[in-house]
Amino acid sequence: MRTAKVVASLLLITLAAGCGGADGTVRPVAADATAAVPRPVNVQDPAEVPPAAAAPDCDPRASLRPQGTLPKAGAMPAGSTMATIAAKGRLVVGIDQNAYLFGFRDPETGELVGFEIDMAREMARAIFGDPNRVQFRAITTADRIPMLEDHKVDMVIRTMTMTCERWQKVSFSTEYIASRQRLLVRKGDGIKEFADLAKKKVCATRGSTSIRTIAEQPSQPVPVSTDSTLDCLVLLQQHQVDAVSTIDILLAGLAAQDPTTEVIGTPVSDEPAGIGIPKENEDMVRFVNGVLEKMRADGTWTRIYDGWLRERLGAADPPVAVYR
Amino acid sequence: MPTQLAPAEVRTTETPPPPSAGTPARVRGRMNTPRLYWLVATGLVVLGLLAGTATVAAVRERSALIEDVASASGPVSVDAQTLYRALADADATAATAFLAGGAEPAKLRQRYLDDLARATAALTVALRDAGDADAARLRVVADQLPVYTGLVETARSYQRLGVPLGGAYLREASALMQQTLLPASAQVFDSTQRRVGGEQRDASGFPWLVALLALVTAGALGAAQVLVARRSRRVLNPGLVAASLVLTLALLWSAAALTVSANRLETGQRDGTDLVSTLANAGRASLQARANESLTLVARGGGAEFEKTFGKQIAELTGTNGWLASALAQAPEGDRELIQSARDEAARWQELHGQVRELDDGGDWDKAVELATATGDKDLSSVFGRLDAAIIGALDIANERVDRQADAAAGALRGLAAGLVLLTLGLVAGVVLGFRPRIGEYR
Repeated sequence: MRTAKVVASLLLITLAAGCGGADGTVRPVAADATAAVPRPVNVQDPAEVPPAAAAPDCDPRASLRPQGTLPKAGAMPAGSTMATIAAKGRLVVGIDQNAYLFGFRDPETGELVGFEIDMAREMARAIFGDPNRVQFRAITTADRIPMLEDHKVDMVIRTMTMTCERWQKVSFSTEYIASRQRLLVRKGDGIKEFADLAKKKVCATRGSTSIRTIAEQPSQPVPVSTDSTLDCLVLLQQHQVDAVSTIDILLAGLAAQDPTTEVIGTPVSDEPAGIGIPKENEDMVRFVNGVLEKMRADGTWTRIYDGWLRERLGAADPPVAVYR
Repeated sequence: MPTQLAPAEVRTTETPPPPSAGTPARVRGRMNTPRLYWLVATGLVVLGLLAGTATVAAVRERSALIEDVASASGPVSVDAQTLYRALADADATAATAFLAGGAEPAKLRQRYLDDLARATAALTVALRDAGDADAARLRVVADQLPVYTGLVETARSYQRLGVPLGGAYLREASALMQQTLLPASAQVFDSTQRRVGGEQRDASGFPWLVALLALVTAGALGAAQVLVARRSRRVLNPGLVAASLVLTLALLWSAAALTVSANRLETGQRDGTDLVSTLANAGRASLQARANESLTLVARGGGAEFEKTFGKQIAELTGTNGWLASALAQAPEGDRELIQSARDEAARWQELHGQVRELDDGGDWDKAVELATATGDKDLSSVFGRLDAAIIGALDIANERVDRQADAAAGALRGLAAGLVLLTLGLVAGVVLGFRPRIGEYR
């Protein structure tokens, strides 16, 4: 009896299932859906490596020596570039608005703040006696030299590495901050050096010397380029690259935005940053170097450095000025 | 395999072609009158039934197509428009809200969330009714939309923490929207538009087969009356005259109804579907241009790419052959005022955009943002708001026109199929009643 019942109910279930199956329309299979990870705009993977330009041999740090005593604020020597700027009423400085700790917007006030912004304000103070007589102009990495050549800015303070190649087109002040190319990685990935990045993706900005340095590493990492170092951090956070490699001071700015990352590795380059000034404004170069001398001597440099960078980069002395 | 052999077997068992009939002259000569009457009557009945059935079938097919325009394709197309607009608006709103600083205005946040709600609602409905190709595209949107919103929220959080990384996330989000989500939903919209247009065309074409059969039937009926008049020496045969009247009525009714219906559909296509496509493209161009305008400022000095894209999109919108100019040329008189006002606002926008660019390029980012986010009546947000509202208004009118004309087209055909069945029966009855007494005379 029981067997008959079981058989009967099985039959019924089978029938019901058969009917249901035949009745239903074919539905698209959804179990295999996957989400592709998006990418920032203009990512090159692998990046095009810019050719090493044949640069004349020089000491990229060597700038022009200040002459005489520094003119008093508000009393620029007649006929000088500084006098023209003073007459104009504002010092125009090309800066970065997206470099955390160097040049960025204070979220509360909307004002531009950072290490390089303070440097620019000191320059304005030296000319006008007023640190606020400065007009900031946000420019891209690629814009720096053309802006100086076209005199659209009086100076560029934008982590601009002093190289012999660039000395051909623009002038630099003495070094105002030292930097070296290092690595930013996710904590706990076990990456300590470039040697750990064989065949792995390493990000830097397009056309930068950093891309070239990455490509030249013996462990042969794959360079990936973006429009800005911030996009590199996005890629690192999204596990689309395994490291970001650029100068350590910029990496510190990135690490400050994401505490799960850290700056590591032996420096693979030496990249002094100087204030870019139009090639022909030699008086301006000497003046700026004079201001930098004063800032090194009276502790202004250290005050600004400590305010923005000491916590991230450790205590540091101002870079020693080198003159021709 | 047996299944491959089957067709050959079928062919061998096919019935042989019917034996060829002789020429009418030989038939008449050989046949006596009652037999000839039989043959003619049967022929007329068959022809009448054939023409009637073909016409009824054609009318029913058209009604089904029109019904589909009004109740399926039309609404799917509107869903696709909603999806597209909601996504593009979310992108533009997110960028504008981001620009407004730390804590974005509540109004913009709400608008962004509403856009997402509309997009997911439209997506769900569109997925239900979409064909395979569209479903695949919609799935791209379904898969990536949560990723997009995740990026936007990440951007907001970083923005609130005051670190520049937020801008990088917003740019990535916008790239995902503009390079993946919007193209996929644009394709869905285009394909639904093509479907609506195709149905409108199919349902308004000239019915060749029906016309041919009707003419043949009319000719045959005329010829039969001449034949009967000669053989019976009676000028009028009441049955056949009645059949002719019924046929004339059927022809007039069908021709009138089909013409009216076709005209309505053509109007619906020209002033509706085609205009909807143009206006939807205008809306897309303006929303994407708005997003890129904001992103140029979000990029803070690194926005040259966005500005280039803005320039391209605004040219598509306002150029001499741009979407708004085309819409103006296409639109019926009554719609032009609205579209013209959209065009005026777009011109004003370009002017204001020029001022914003001048400030930003001159290094005065703060002033540029202030100008770009000001909310006064003459400011950018309001100008763009009015432009967008005008496009939406014109779109609504055009969409409604597709619907209304489809309804009118369906209305013109209402009762025709049933009427034609009755008229066909009337025609057959007339033929039978006309020939029966004549055949009876020879018994």
